[in-house]
Amino acid sequence: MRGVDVRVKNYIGKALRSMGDLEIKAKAIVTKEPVTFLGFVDAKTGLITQEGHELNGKSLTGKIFVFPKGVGSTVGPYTLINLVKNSKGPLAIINRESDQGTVSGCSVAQIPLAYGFINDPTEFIQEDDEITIVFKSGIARLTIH
Amino acid sequence: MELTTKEEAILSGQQGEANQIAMALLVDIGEFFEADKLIPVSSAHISGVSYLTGGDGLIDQLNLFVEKEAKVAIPSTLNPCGMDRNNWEDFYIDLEFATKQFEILKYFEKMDVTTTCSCTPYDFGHILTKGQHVAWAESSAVTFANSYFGARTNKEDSLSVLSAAIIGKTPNFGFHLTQNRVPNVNVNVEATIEDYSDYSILGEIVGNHFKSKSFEFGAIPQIEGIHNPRPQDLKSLGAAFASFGTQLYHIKNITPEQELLSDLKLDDEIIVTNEMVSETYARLQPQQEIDLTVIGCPNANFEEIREVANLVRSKKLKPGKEFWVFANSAQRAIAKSAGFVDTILEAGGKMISDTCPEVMPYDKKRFPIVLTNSVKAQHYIAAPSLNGIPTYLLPLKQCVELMFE
Repeated sequence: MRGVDVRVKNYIGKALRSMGDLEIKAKAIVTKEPVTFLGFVDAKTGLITQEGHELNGKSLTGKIFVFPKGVGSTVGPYTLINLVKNSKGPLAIINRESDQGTVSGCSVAQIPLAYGFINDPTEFIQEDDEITIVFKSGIARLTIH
Repeated sequence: MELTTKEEAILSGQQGEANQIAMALLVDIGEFFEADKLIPVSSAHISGVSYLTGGDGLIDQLNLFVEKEAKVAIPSTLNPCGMDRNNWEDFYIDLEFATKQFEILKYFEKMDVTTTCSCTPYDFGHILTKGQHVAWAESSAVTFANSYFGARTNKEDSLSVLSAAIIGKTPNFGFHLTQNRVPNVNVNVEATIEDYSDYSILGEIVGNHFKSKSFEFGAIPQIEGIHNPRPQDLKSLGAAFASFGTQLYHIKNITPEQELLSDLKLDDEIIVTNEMVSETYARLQPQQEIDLTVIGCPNANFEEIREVANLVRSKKLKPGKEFWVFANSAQRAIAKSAGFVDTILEAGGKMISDTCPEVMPYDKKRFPIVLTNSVKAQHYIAAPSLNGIPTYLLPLKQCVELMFE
């Protein structure tokens, strides 16, 4: 007998209005620590460069980046823009809480941002989970495969 | 969020692409924070000016706006850039960095932004009144605008503030609403707080105490036990607070929004004692010899320049040491007319304008450690994301004693 997977697999959150309709499928990279983008990641390589951080040395490129919220410097959004400019950005970002800098960076760099889930995405998504997010009319439907 | 017919028209591109891009971002932010509408703002202070922090993404973004003929709709000032425009070679800035920095400034000029670069725009005429809605970025300036003037601004980020400047509006949420400006923590100061650095240390103690707690718009301290602070003292306190995420504080009988304070004991409280102040100074004091001291985070005003001049008068910088005072060009000009700038230069100190101790790149081989009198500078010069240089703190008088003879 196969064991029954009791994990809920479908979640509904919100999406930025400017993003339009699209579907993203990728692996998750997850941290429970707030992120200060300035200095967190090397915009040329997409590699995380923060000594002591649990994700240090890993790559954001082509992944769905899940973290609680952004903190710190008001110039953080330019790090997201620099990443996308170098084709090293994450495919999507999922946040638990509000942070204006991440909203701005995602909006301008056109990185789909999902937020406003009832449950904590840094809890229900595990590192390397394969995820699909369907963005439509300001709603983000998330499925864990 | 409800948009007016005119705002909808801008969003659909009827007033050009630059306005459309700016409006789309304001709508995204407004909906994210569940703002009910956009509100007019009367000024903007724009961060994201230094090439050190913005990189090529900043240049691309500004280039995009300028190509689409974007102009700011309201009076707008700039945060520090990455170097002294007139004197960058003296501070070991290389030509490539300088070229990129000049390009960034040129774009802002084309958008009609006032390019006096400083984190203290209120020191060169950009002053506010109680209740005035503005869009300011730069955490220390936001805290000063909200707390000292009683004006209303969220901590805008570098992109949102540019959009707000172009449209002349910002989403109505956070500190624009009275209910979010009410204090949520008590700070009872039993310690003697007098020197500029004492205020910085007070910010460090309180910031550390509340940093693990979660508040929607940061901790909003209601402070008791501070007497006769000067504007630069409150700037110093606010800058230290801001580096912990506090963008508004109230002081009993001093700051403008007394009507929001109450005698009720709030759940979270800290009593700040002389012992705590001494312990914090001890933790931040240098353990080894230091060759570079930086003063002016946030940028020094006339009074602070005068204080430095009076301390270094008739002294000489010790061999191998450097002493840099960061002040905006306006305050520097006033201090120059009073003779204080010449006094500092004669003693061997240097004056720097347009930039700040954090967003200027340092020659790390030459200066492996830095000394300052400001908690904010201590945090950010040491931040791996900026210069990543170990930085220590002493009151100004002791900094001068170590550097001059």
